[in-house]
Amino acid sequence: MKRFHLISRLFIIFCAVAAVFPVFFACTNSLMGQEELKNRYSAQITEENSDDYTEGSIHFVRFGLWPDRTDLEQYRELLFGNPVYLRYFWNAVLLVVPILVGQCILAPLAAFGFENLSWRRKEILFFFYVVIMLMPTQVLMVPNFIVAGWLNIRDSYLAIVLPAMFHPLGVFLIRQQIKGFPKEAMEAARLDGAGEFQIYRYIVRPNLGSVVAAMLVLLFADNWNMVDQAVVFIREPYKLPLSAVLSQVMEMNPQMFFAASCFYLVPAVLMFLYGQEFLAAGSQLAELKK
Amino acid sequence: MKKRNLAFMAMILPSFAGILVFYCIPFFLSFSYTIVNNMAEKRFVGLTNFKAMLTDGLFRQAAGNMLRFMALSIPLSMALAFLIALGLQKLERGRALASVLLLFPIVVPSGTVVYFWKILFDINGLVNKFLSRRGLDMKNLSDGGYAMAVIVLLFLWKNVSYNIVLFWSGLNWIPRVYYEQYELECSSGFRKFRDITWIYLSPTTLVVLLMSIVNSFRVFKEIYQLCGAYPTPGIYMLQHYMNNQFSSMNLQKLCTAAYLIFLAVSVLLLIVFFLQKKVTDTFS
Repeated sequence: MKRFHLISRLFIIFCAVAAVFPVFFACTNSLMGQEELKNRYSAQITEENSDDYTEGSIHFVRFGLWPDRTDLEQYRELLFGNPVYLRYFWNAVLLVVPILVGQCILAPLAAFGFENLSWRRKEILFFFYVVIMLMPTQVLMVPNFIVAGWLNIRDSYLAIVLPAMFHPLGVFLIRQQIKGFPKEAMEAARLDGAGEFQIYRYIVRPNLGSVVAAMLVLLFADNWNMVDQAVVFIREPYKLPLSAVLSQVMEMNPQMFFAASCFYLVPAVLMFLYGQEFLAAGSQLAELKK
Repeated sequence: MKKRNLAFMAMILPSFAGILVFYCIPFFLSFSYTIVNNMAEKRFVGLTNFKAMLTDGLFRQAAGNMLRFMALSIPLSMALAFLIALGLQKLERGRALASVLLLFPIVVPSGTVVYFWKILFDINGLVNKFLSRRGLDMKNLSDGGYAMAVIVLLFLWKNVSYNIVLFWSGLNWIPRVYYEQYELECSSGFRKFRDITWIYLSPTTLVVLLMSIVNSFRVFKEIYQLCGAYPTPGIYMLQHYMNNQFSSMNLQKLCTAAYLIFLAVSVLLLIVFFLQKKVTDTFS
């Protein structure tokens, strides 16, 4: 039995390390200079890296976590030198912030309405939400694309932002939470003459903090990592968010790639630290999907 | 009562109007694109487009790859998440830290870790270094089977976290008393697992299955970043196919493919829902 415990502990430690190791790798490698990255990871044999293990015409990677010589040039370039990376970063902000703000306003309100509406057929309306939530992005992009054509916003961020603001995930998560809200509190307020909007604003909404946080983390993770919608809807390359150009930067300039991806990671990590307790506590999340 | 309902409807309205305008209405109307020959002539052709798509080699390959990918990655990610959640429950110290670390991949942009995958699996990567040192044949990402294995691993790294959250709360939902009562009667750990954990976790398992199906469609991000818009045929997915139709603006093919995928996913989800309902009914 003791042995079993030891094995399961080792297994957890291994998985936890595997979960963060690729990110740790990217962070430490972002401190390497251009030359060092090339010598370590290029497939071509050059004068500097010919001491490493090679076979035929292939130079194999010399894996490393700590730079031989620390170089911060790429971060200077990223922040003060070449404005294009900050532009990509800013594009991502411009895409994500309106989506989160819109969801924060629309989703709790609609969830509250759905839970309290006394109409037998409301579940039929809600069924639309469930089906849309479960469809692959590529299928949803077809209606989005058609509407964008009608509204003539195909080349603007609105084509991505507007549908994402109405994406059903938020309403779904929050409705599960409101189900457990004590009805007596609402009844008491009603007896005191509060309208439904007042009940929502002063009694229910202030108590939805944790599930809204969980929703924000999930939505942020999804949209900060946007690739599909960006490559389909955005025509001008300079308007793309950094998430969609990272792979090109990787091909052209590995040094900038590491610096940019670490820089891009910062808001995601902050968001995660802000919301992870709600995710991990997450019984409401599990309920969700029932 | 009526006035109150009006207020609730007013609250739902903004969100539901958005759902209708941006998702439902255009999707229903787009059916009219699938039954005409092209956008200029608009001659009615019945279901010819569907027939053509189902016999299109590229579409079939993409669908086949997608199915193969799902058949590999979904069971693996569920099994791994389940083992980790069980392990977490057994852990006495450091559980908070372990769960923070394990959940971390949820927020990491997929681009950040792609280079790491290249260093492991590319032609001059660590795997090949290892193989070559031992005089074995080297692997190449243009080889479909190997590439598939690589993206399955990437999928696992990215998506196991979310399944852990779900399993973890499912496990915590099982009342301790059940175990304690059972221990009085029999002490075998395995039987305890089989008769309590396994049974009471089955509704959660179906939820995880549902979410895994949804997530398996999102893997395109990773493939796109690892292998570009035109990968080796072995991992050419439905998403690549759809994106190509987007860029060539072929509305007929686009909508036809969307309807086919919609139907397939609906059937899949209905089966899972049905199973889930059956299981839930049995236990409650």
